Amino acid sequence: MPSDATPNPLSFLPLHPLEFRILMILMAGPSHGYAVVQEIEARERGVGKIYPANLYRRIRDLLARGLLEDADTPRSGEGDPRRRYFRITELGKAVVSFETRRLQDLLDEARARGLMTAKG
Amino acid sequence: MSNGPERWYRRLLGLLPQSLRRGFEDEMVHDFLRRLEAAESFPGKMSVWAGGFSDLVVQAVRERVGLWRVGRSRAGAPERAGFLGFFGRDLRYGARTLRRTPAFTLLAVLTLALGIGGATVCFSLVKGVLLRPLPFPADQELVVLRQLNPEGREESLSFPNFDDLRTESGTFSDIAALRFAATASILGGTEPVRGTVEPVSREFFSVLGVMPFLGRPILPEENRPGGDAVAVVSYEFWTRSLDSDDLLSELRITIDGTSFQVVGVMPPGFRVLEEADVLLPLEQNAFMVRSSSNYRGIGRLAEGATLTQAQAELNGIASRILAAYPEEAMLSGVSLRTLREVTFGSLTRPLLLLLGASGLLLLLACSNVASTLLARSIRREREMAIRTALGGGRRRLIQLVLGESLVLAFLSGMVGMGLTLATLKVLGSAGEGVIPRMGSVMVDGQVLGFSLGLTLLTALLFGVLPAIRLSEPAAGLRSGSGGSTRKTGRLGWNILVGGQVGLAVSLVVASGLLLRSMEQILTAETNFRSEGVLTIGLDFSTHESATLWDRRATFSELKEELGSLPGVADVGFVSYLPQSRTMMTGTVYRPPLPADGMPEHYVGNVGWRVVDEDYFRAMGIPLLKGRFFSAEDVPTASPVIILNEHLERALFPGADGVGSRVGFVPFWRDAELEVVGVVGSARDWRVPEGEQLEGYVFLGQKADYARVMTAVIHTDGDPADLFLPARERLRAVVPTVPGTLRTLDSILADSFRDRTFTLGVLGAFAVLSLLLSAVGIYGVVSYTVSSQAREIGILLALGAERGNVRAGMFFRSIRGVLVGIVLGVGMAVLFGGVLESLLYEVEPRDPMTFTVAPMALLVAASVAILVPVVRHTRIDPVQAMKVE
Repeated sequence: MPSDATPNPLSFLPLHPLEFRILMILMAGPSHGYAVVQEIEARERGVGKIYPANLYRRIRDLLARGLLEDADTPRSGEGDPRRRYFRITELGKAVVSFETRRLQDLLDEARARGLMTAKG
Repeated sequence: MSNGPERWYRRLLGLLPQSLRRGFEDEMVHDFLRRLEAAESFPGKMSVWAGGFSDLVVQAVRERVGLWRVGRSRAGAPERAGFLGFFGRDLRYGARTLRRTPAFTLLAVLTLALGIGGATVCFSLVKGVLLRPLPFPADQELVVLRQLNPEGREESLSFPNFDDLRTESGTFSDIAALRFAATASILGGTEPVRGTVEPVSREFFSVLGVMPFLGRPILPEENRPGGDAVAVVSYEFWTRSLDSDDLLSELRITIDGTSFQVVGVMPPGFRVLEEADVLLPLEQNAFMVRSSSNYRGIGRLAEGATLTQAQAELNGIASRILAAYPEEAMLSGVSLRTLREVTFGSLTRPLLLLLGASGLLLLLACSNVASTLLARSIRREREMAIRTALGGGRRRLIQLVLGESLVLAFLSGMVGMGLTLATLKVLGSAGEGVIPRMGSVMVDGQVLGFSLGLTLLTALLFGVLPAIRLSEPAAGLRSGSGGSTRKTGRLGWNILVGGQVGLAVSLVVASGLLLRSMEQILTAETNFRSEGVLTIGLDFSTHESATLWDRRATFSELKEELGSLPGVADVGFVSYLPQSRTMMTGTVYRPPLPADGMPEHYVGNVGWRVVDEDYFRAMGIPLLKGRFFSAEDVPTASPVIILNEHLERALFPGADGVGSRVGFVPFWRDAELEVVGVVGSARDWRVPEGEQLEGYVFLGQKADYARVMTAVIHTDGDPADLFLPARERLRAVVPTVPGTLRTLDSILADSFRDRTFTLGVLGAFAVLSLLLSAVGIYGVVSYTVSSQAREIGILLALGAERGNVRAGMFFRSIRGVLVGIVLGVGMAVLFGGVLESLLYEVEPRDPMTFTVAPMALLVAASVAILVPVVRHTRIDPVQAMKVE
């Protein structure tokens, strides 16, 4: 029986795509919500816009599940003390790596079945 | 301190449950405001507001549903009690009430569903078509360039002009040129097909920032005279005609007799300005004549450059070009419009108009249901009085009635969503080719949120008035009070009826105006016959005819064969039909041509067509002066030309042009042509945008341009009957020439398709609004009359004439309608200007429309009033007095 103190990372899979994107971006370091959104939208065309309520509902859930935690404002010049910063937890990092593996396996299978001919 | 948008957004955040707002509210406000700042244009800001609002609605619902689920397992969750626990009872009550009156419920749901569905469809169209960026990176930097000729008219660029603009401009990072897509016969797949071919210059791919998704683009070294014959095909052409063959190295296509190596396939849906099946290297044979404008430019603004700066710079370059080549440049300036504007410009207005019309329709539906609810409410006055007597506060009563409205609204919302999906599916096929990117219109989270928000708003709109009315400390339990009509109630109904009629009048007037312009377009003098004409598109590029003489012989043989078919009166040939989109233009002038500078009389942008001696007869184009071409106009005789009416008037104002000599560059550089005749102006595809200047030259003298010709066959019978025999003759004479057979009728119908589409949608709106307002009036009058049953009974018992009673009631009810008609006409007059650009030869205040539409409403309203009036006064007076 898994104890509450150390949840099994596998129990969080599969991640919602937006949650996965948030976690991936925070792997690079603490950041605030708007910066995360900007990075997602800049990287991925066709995602559509991510509006605040949607974003912070995901962030709140990630916080509640212990994959994210609040962070201090970075000391570098770009930090804005008025914003709330978030940081990925060790558990969050483990979940990201498992989710990546899961998606990789899925892609491998698609390739093995010959579903990926034309290069994007 | 908070500004306007912040205050509003904070207020909207109230939609979210506390559990989500707590700790994030400031972040959400900050993010939203930043996004709002980033949107520069007004539509952009509106899009952010729409997105932000539907985001809140969708997330709020998800939260509630989530809490509700959680609430089931964990009893006593505070949120649940706050929202569903308290309200749930009212919702259940509402559902029960509605179940008891299925006919009313059905009618109300249908009415509202039509309103919600209509508005949602229009919103998803606007969002999918107008608010989505074009599929090019940084699409707002892309600008379409055209040149302004010395008269200030917009026309295509000539290649030398394009080249100079491109080299000298610093505000553009680069500019590409495109030819108009032309039809050609393409061999390569299983059978020869007609496809569109669009030559593009070497900058094309880099300017747009889109690369083939398979293979490579056309390389700069291929895009010059003598380069390899390579082609890039569209994804759609590749799947449709080339079987999605991804072994590109072995894929070749033959276009008009030349073989091309396919080197790339563009991504699905790639489209610039118009559909093209094949992109070819333009610069292998660019038309290097400065006075011949056949290209469009697409530029990408350099970083930091604005459209205004670019405009100023290009105008400067243009005047330098004009100074250097005064006689050929034909360039007084450059017109710049963003690619977005060019792509959607003609659609923005109709779509926004549709959105507005659908909003009006929704309002109409709401007021309709509100009036029916009001009428019903009288029967429940006693129930409400009892509830009040038992201690139900006013607030509770309002909530109770609103519960019913909410249930009604949600049912309607669901049906409306179904209607939306069905409509979008139908529009998807009917609107294809009319609305660019129709395929990308779909129902997503934002549209759902919009629809949900709309539903809530609807419930408030039609629910609040009846709710307040019902909860009024009313006549209470006094029995028999139900019959008296209170002054306030009467005024409320009059406002509702007047409002409904007003909305309906303005919708019907708007549709009527568009209907009238459609009629004008369809009945305008075309100067050619469309009935009884069969056309055969012929492509001689693959046909081996050694000399022009041979080709001429082929034409006469074809003419003889086709002319001997039963019922055929005339057979003619033309390079492009009046409705054809493929057209070449040149400049016609009156000699002499001075050594430096422009001739004194000249007209630019003249379309030209090559025709044979029988074309005008076959098409029924009238000869106004002079003569048609004849067999005497042999190649060795002096070349001849026939002008259309508009061209003659432009070139020889107030004088007779027949017998004069003119020059026509660049098509006829070596000689002057003699004007032998003037014909009526056959309307072409650009109409109604403007008059068309055209010159016709003789096939017998210009057979070298007769690569693609269309045979026009005029028959006494049904042209469709000729399909099979004509194809047989064709095969016998020229077996290798692909022929496309169509009746002229169907070609014309195609060219009007976008107009008929808009018209169909608006017509549907008009009929719906007429119907809805009639139903609404019926409901209200029906109630008013039935509530006066006792008074009627007394009047009749006292010996009043039945007819007089009826007339009195009728006139009392029609007053609201008349006020509404006046209001509606006023609105239509005020907003008629919005429609102006969509109208053709119809004034925005067209007296006929402004008479017929209100009359139609008046008739519909009269019927809606008379039916209940007559029904309720037919009763026996004694019976009527017993009614309570």
